[in-house]
Amino acid sequence: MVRAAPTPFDRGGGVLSPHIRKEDSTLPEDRIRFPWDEYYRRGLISRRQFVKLTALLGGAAAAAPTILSEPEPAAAALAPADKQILRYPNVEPLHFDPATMESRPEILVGMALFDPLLTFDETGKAVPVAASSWDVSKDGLTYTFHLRSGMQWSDGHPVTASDYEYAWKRVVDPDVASDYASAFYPIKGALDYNKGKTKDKNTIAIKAVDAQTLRVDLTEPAAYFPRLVSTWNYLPVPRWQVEKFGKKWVDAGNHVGNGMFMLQKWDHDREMVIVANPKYWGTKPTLQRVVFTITDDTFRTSLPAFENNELDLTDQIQPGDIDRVRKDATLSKQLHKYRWSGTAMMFCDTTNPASPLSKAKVRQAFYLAIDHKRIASEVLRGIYDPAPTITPPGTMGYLSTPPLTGGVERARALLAEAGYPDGKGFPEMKFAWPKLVTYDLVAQAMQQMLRDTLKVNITLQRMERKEFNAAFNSWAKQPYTAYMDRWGSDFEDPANWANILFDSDQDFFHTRWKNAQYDSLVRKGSAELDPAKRRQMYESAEKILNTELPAIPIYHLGVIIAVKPRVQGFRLPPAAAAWYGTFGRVKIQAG
Amino acid sequence: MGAYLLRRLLLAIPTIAIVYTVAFLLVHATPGGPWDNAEKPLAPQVIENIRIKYHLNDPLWKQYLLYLNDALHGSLGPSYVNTARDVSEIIADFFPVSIQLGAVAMLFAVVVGIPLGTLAAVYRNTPVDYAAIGVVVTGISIPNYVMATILVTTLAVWLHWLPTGGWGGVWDIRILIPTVAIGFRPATTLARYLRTSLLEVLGQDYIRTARAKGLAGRKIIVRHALRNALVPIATISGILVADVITGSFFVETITRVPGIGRYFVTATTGRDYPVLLALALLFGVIIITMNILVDLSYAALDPQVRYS
Repeated sequence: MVRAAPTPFDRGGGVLSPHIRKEDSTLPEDRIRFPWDEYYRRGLISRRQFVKLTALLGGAAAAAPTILSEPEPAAAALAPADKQILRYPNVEPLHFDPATMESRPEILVGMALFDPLLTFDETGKAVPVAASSWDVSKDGLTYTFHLRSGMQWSDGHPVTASDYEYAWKRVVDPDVASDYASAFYPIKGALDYNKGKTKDKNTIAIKAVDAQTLRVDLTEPAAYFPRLVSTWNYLPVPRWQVEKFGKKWVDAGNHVGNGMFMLQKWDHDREMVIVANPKYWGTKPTLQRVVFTITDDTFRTSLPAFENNELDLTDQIQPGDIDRVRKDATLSKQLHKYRWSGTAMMFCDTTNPASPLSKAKVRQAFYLAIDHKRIASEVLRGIYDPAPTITPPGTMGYLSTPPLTGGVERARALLAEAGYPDGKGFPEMKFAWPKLVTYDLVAQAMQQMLRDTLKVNITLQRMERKEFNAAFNSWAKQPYTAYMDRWGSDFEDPANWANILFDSDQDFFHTRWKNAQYDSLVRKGSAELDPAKRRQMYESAEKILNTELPAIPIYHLGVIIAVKPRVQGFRLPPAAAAWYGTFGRVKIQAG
Repeated sequence: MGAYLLRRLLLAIPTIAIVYTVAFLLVHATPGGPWDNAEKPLAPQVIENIRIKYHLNDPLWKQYLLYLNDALHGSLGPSYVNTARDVSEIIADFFPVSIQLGAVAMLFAVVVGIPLGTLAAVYRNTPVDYAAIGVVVTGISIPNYVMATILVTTLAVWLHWLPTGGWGGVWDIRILIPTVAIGFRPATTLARYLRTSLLEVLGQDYIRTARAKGLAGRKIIVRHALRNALVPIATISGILVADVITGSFFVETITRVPGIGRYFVTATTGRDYPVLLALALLFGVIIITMNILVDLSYAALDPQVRYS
């Protein structure tokens, strides 16, 4: 698995209690210190130089910052407890009910309010949280989780295995109508119950054997099941509150969690506050409060508020602002770029006879004609990275070199082979996308590049998001030509990519692409418990995918934000499931 | 007067019914629904469960009657986008903010606009008039979101005098920027109308009479001219008030004010049917109310107008 080089901002430490560290002895005691750490800290080299040195000399093997093992900040003293406050921009979350949370505003906070059974560190290693350990049966079908003893909810109730059982079964309840019920379909009985075939909850194979043991039976082996368990939908809920307050259990005052923080105040669309949970079982976080300033457009409002010292962080800096920010003496030093596990692609209907893109050679020509580097650096101002392949770095199956090469020359040759020499006779084709600043810029650049290199003309069709969604849903049955959209990981595993996106039975993006060998590889891969074999399967599959190109990768997602220098240990993990621990790592420096 | 009011209120009922019907049809005719989601894969069963839960499988006429029936019984239902909250709760949260901000902005508009228009008329074709016209043209040509951006950038980001945004009620300092941003244009509109109507009044015979009998200039303007010049202002004010209290999406977004204008757009892009219908009804009621108030104010301002 390839990871980004560590930055000094990966510091944090102490998210999980020291005794996990002991249990998990394979983890390094500390992040490897480079000789130039000290130079950086003393300001003798810039952050850029530090990262370069680390990447050049340290190599990927040494780069293993984990959520468990990060050094204490060296020089600067920490602010007193009453000043351990982080001011964070957010849009209004829907609610913090794990069953129906679905997007960043609530997942980011929700993962701080509840403890999952386990999580994954940056190296892709499973790390115990509420479960101290778990076993998998030999056939890969039965998972048994052993919960820690002595854990409490924020209201003092003991945390037991039946809290997880209740919560998980609740997500599958058709009356709850959760978007994420399908995340439980690998569990025996879940699909039938969600379909309403049975009203008996006991038919779902989730069972609290005793207060500390939770057993789950799967329909077939699923190597990615622990990854699913680390997501927000697998968080527990306090049954007594849900039953007492109904859908109002999520209000501040009624909300009870078992996470490191708890919801203290929620003034809708204005401000929300979470505070350290005194009943938390593990090491208490240094940060005491997070104050969320709620706005409906963090992109537009967070930067001015940050510059006026009302916020400690910004949201994604927009392409229109980034040049000014980079030139600004102060702001330019506060910028941080994080990888976000996701890819924007041009999806093609591979079976539409009227579309030139139904020919693999045309798709390959398009792929080679698009200058990925220029799109990332010039059009998107370096906010995102070029995507030579589909599966993003950090997810098994990622290829560091694309199988298809040859540049513009080869693109022209392929187009000629497909029957359109010099673009002659290329039919009119539409390229749709949902309105978004970055898509708007990229689509126009692609149109230009294809015209310049291949002499083909594509018609752009920009749509409002919901209008696009309706069109997209209709494409499940009706032919179309091509559109641009992106996929961001819920969790960094190929089960969240290859299997749901490009397996011909799933075909989430309606490309109607079918390759028997690919299907067989990814299906075997999802069940394979040996990581080395599994990786090989997904890498072979990825080669097929990136040669046939039902989707043409354009750029990998990322995020550039500004962070005040007094905020230490903050980093944005690359996938939503990894948001657990984000606020627990933060420490505020004095002064 | 009472009979007139009653008649107007009764006439409002069919108007509201039309507003509801048109809004209902438009909302459902717009492409894309609340659960048209392309960001993540929804299993067919999941979509089916949602459709059943929110009656989306029922024929349109049945949904029309269902919602109408609920609304008449005072229940606006849950929001489709945020199912944990009821529409009435959301409106109760956002609308008072827009009313407060709108009232303050309108006050600003009156305090700035009336003197400005009066000065321009009284000192017609002098540098004072030209300066006032300059302000008016500026106000008409600068959209409120540009105004808001300019104010935030200069007063907050550069000078650090004020916060960039947020909401703390009428007495909170953060209200200043949105007030000016929203109130500036109505202020110049008032000034422009007042200048025209005041000039017309000042040319009337009774003003000459007042001058001839030796009344002080200020007294003539304030007591005699201004009062009559205010009739067209009342008409335009009604529209301005309705406009200002229903909020401005851009200003509310830029200055982080949790107002109804902002929510209206959020609900539209999210296709939040119940919220959209409720807001269409609410805005309909506001505009009808303002029109009735304007008509009644004529009677107060102009003795020639009598309702019977």
